[in-house]
Amino acid sequence: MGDISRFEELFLPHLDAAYNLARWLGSGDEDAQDIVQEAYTRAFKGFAKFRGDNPRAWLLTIVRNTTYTWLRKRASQDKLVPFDEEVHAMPAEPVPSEAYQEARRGQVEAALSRLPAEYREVLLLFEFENWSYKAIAAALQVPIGTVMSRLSRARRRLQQELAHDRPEEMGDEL
Amino acid sequence: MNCEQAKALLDTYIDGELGPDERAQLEQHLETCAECRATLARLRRFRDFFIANGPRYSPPPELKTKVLSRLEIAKRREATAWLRKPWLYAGILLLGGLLLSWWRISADSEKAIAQQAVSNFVRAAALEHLCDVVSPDPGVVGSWLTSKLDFSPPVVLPGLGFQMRGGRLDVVQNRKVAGLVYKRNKDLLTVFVWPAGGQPLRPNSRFLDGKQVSAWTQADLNFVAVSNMSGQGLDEVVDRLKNAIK
Repeated sequence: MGDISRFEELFLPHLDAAYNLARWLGSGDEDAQDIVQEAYTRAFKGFAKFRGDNPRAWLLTIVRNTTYTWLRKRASQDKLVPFDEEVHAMPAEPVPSEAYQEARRGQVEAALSRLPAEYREVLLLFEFENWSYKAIAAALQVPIGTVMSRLSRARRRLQQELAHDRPEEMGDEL
Repeated sequence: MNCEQAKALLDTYIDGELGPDERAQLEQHLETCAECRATLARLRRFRDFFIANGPRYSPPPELKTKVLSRLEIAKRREATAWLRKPWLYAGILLLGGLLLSWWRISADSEKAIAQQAVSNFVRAAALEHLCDVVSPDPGVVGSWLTSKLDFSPPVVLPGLGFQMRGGRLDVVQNRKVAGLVYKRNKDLLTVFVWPAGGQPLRPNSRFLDGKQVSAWTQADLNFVAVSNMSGQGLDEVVDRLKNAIK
């Protein structure tokens, strides 16, 4: 019980990563905030069971599960995560560099949002969280080979989605 | 290794997750195959592009406060979680019941002992057989009783005008006990003594059948004093006896 300060010490530094993961997996800002709060509460309740040396990975696994539960509940309430039309209606003509950069990010985000969640999660965990195949396999409870092939397929799909968005530009970009 | 095999491994190669053998084979192939090298370069560019442009979502600053207050609530819940366990209340009730019945049983047995002491007192008076050994000398009474019993009852004088009359053998709770008999005019006092043997008496005083009864345990011996004197005088006599026995 007196472990709350230790809990906070271990897990609060990963608040941004927790929120980021919830967003990546398809929740909007409000949902992601609720998910993060829920996940921290769950983590605190299960803190006695935490034996690992990687609090970030442990927390993110809980965030992942919480997000899926949340989104499933949401999906049964109102179909799926609303499609953000604005993001998808990105200007296609070349624009000055900063805005251009911004636009590119928007495109990647939009393309990602069209990917299945299991593709997005391996991309995030591997490319941005820098987890190993093995760590991802453990968290997702799938064989390492599945992580490998899923990651490859995720990249191909993302490439396709981006090319579909802006064929002429991706052509010379990639 | 042919191109098809090589292409299947390129992602994993870039990720640095290829085993040493496969990596060596792949690198060998790449040295000789310009097409695969181009594919590898394309994949790398895409990966760099993706990492540079992938979204990074930052939470609003108030999220930390929200999380902290949720944790506070969870902590408080946990602190009082034991209060919400039904078995706890069942346990308390059971223990309370046991204590109550233990208290009642021991109160009952104390009352039974007092009752027995009173009837011994009354019977001896009615039969006019107060003493098996008659002597005003506590030493004589003490040594006679010791010779008849498996313990040595302390025979002392309470003062307050009480004279030693003698001693007798009696029975309380199916065991032989010492009976010390004192008199002060019409006031008769009998003190029953036996080894406590792990069943001490809680100090208690009561009136039974018009007699005053006072019980206590001292020096591993149980004492029950019975008297027909009027008023509240027995307590004072008992105090004197206790002090004298020490």
